[in-house]
Amino acid sequence: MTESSDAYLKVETKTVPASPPDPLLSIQGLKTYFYTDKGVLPAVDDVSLTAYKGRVLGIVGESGCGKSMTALSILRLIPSPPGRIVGGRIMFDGRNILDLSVNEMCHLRGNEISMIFQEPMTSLNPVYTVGRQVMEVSMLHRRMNRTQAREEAVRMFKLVGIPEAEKRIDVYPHQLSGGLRQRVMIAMVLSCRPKLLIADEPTTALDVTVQAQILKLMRDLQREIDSAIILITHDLGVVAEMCDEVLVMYAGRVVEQAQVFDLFDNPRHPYTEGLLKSIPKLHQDDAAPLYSIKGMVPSLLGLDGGCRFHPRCEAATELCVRREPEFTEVSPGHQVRCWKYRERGESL
Amino acid sequence: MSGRNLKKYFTTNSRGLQGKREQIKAVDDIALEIYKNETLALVGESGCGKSTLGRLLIRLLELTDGEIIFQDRNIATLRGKELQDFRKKVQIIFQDPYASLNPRMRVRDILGEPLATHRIAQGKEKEARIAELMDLVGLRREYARRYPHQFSGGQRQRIGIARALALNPELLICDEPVSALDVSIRSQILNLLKDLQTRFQLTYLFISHDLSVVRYISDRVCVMFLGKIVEVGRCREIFEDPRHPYTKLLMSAVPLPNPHLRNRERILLEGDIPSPINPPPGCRFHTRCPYAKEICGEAEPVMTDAGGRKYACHFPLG
Amino acid sequence: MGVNLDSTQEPRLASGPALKDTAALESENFLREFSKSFCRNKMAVAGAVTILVITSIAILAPFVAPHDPYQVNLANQFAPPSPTYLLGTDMFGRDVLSRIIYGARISLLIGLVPTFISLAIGTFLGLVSGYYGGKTDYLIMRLADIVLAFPSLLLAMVVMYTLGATLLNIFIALSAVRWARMARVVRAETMSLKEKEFVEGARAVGVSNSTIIIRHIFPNCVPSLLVLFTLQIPDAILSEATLSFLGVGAQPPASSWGLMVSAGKEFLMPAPAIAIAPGVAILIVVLAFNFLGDGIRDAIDPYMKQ
Repeated sequence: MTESSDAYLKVETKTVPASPPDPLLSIQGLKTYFYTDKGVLPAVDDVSLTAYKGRVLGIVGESGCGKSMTALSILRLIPSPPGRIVGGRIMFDGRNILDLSVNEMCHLRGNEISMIFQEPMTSLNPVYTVGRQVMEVSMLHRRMNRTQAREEAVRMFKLVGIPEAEKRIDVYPHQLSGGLRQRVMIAMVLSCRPKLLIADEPTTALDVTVQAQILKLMRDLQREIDSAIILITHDLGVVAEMCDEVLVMYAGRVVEQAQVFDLFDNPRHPYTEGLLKSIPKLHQDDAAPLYSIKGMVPSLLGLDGGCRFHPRCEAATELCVRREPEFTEVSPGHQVRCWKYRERGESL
Repeated sequence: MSGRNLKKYFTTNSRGLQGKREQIKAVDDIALEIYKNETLALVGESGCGKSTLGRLLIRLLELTDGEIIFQDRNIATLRGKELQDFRKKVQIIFQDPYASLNPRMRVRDILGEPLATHRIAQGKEKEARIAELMDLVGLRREYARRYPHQFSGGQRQRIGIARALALNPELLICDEPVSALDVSIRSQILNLLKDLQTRFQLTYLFISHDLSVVRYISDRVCVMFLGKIVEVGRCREIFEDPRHPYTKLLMSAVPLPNPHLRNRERILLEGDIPSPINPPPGCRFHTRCPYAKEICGEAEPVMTDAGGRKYACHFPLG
Repeated sequence: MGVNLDSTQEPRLASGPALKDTAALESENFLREFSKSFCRNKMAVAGAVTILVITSIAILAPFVAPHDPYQVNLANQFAPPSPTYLLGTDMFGRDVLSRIIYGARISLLIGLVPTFISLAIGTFLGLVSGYYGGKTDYLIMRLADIVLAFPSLLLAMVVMYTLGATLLNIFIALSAVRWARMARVVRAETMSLKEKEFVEGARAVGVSNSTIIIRHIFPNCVPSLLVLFTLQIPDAILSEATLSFLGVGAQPPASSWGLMVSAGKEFLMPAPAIAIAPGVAILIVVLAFNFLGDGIRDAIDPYMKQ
């Protein structure tokens, strides 16, 4: 990577801890399909991932890749009809989430597994004060009474950096800016100290300076409460800043999975490579035309059994058209779903 | 195109403390120059007024005060035929590919509308021109029969570009043209825009909040904050050697796609973006500025002009 | 879409400034999509079919009705239902069934025409009001407020009473108030559409305001208008029935359903069919239009979301 030699850019080399802690969430072979009258859409197709306490797992991909659906599948919030989880296991804390009853799921949601969404305005109920919404969570899951819940809410507001917390408890969502609303969401989500936090594009709708603050907040808070975070985004910059491990998804499949440094230093899948090459760089002065991946994201309906990326791939071969590749481990912790690598390493 | 003392105030329905209608000072006394064939970027966060300014320059909104000069005429005075001529020369591309095309019109009608309105081409000639436009933006000619919903976001954006080009404009206002697109499509559209610029000698006003994209495509950059311009300069100058603290802050906040740079030194802002209804006194940025001194809260800084390089700060960096 | 090469060859497609997109999303046209959604809703289909049947019967009344609805036969008053007179006869010996069949004409006509008139007026005023805003908007909306403040049926009664009970006057009476509701809906849609970027784009191109309204705004209001229209029709039919029932609507010897109910209420004992049959007819038609309207609205929703 060529970067300008600006004084404030300090290079850091991070090494991954030798033995990761026990997995908190382990998804194996998840399949969530949508049954429409145009056909079956394999929105999440054989996705496996693992999330660890205190670590951030990033899921990166573009529209239609299935990253949001994966998150909703974990919480079993898939709109059904037309969607259905048709296969796989989601092991959380020793239990398979897909086997839990409705009551058990309700207990899990918001309490042990929480989710932050992209649009804080639509995630907050406009007719209740923000304080009330945060209090609702603690009163429901932690059985607090009104006074205790209010104290807790003020504490959470201070924790997430909302100025004048005591006053802000009683305002309505529309009276707050986007950044503050997102902080309220985070306060709401953290008040139960979830073991797993899923953040679906939490900063996409925010300004860049506010985004930087929110991301820092999430990092700081994670250190404090030691939860696992699954961060879903399309922004590779955010991934580089926040994540420890990354999953790259394309058209419902995971195409590459690696530790973050490994992914950016040695991207293997042509899609990942293409994405990295096609982002304009902030500190690069280059008059040459940007690399672009030709073509478009395919419709999930007309998939033809080959690699889903082959129409756009520069290295596509006949094999790629005929058969979809399996995962290959190209280096420890780094897996790629691509025929280029089948000779090296073992197939999994 | 140049603008002086540009102001655009919106009156809201709510009344402030003195009972007077509150005003949103979206654009507050701005001076601007756009040179032929260049790409000038307007950069800033929400509420800074960049979109409003873009629409003022194309006369989709009327100025509250100030004047915009284009080819020796004040555009606010244009009427009738002269206004139509102006419309032919200045066009706009929008951010949202889903809202920028009439869902009930076929693409060929969308592209044909400018031609028909200005009576540039009829019948066979019009069809030929429409086909030409489709070719220019990289879409198959047969697709002109289709409706917008049958296209992807990137393709719709191409249609929007084709429509803007239909009248052979000289200046194109690009309002966040790639922000709503998938990452892998952005570079396609950016390359297309660059190509078209070379081919047709176009001038671009590129409005964006995405600094990496701005770096790639622009020649000069104009940074806005809360209705004011805080810094203007050539692309490299702004990115490598910013003078205004806000510019530096913006650069600092952009997440870089390089995990090795995670722990770089950064300046993070405190607090939230102030409201354009009640902008802070003095320098509008002083409430968030890590370098602010007393004078910053009292007196508004004057724009220093160092040979094209402009900045408005009491204590410029560098 | 297959690419037949080994890994050394580059499958680059185009040489121009941008790639030619080889695939646009597949999609059938609106009508097919809409019909598919609509047909899945059984009640809506039932409603549509019913209306179709009733309309055909109304149009073909002279051929379908077994007897002349006006033919008086005092010798055969209050005849019970029989193979000749399927629903029996009324107080003047007229065939109830034939009267109902001919009555469909009146009801449908009065359902459709005033609704259409109020739709036309309301759409026009709503478009103008929403698009131009300012004083025009203020004036039109205040006018609409005034009109809406009147109890519509009462107003209709007053109009009918003063102007006389002719068909034209019924049309006037029933559209006098209803346009205001339509205008409001259209205005709201116009105001939201006005801000959309494709309208801004048209303005930037220099398209005149009237062309923008006609070509850009109106077509996008049509789905809501369709639903509104369909759901207002039963209202008109019921209003007519009520007016006739109260004596200020259709006049005897016309066989309006409302009139039949009114006339028949005295004779519920000897011949309940006289009052009940037209009542049931009203019920069926009103329900049919309601289901149809709901069905259209539900089917249009996903298409709008597209």
